[in-house]
Amino acid sequence: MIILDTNAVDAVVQGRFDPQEKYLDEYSISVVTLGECLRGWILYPQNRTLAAVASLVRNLDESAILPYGPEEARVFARIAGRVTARKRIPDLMIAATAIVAGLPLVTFDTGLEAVARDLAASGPPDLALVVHLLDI
Amino acid sequence: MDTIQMTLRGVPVAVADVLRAQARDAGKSLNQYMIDRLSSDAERFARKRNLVENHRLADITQDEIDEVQKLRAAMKDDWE
Repeated sequence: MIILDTNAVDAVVQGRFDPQEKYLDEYSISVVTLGECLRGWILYPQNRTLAAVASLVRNLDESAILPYGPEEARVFARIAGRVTARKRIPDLMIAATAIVAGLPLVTFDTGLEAVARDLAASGPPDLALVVHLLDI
Repeated sequence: MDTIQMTLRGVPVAVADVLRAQARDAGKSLNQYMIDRLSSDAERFARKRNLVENHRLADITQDEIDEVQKLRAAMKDDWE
């Protein structure tokens, strides 16, 4: 099982990335990505990628959407204090979701890879983040 | 429907005990219970694959890819 970052979901509908072909495994998303995907379509309904992404995530089984609850919030607070790379709040919330779920985060975002390196260098083992960086 | 025979080796006893109990609770033989569970997993995998295939856009251009990346970046900036 893997977690797709929002930019990876964009790439899926654009035909640039096939999660099941690459990993032969099931994919999931964070509720943060769900929100970002639906918001993108609401803000830019004429954009066909954002419309297709919103439709895809709306049709995902609930079991494929990982929650953000108290445990994720505690991990978010801990990694936000440790990470020196400048990252936006939703990215760190998605990273916290991946850490709590113990699943690799698949993304095009080199900033998230930097976060994983920061945590590997300075964080305790329970904050380990595995990032699979996709080629642009 | 075509079927084949599959054999599992090395199943931990504790796992086998749980599966047998679940099969009993479901009123099924262990064989039928395992087939149903594996079929359910395979169907979920296929559903997700179909979902991706049904939403994949044809003829996407580099300009469209670039535009979506700019829109995503702008949306993230709203958080700050």
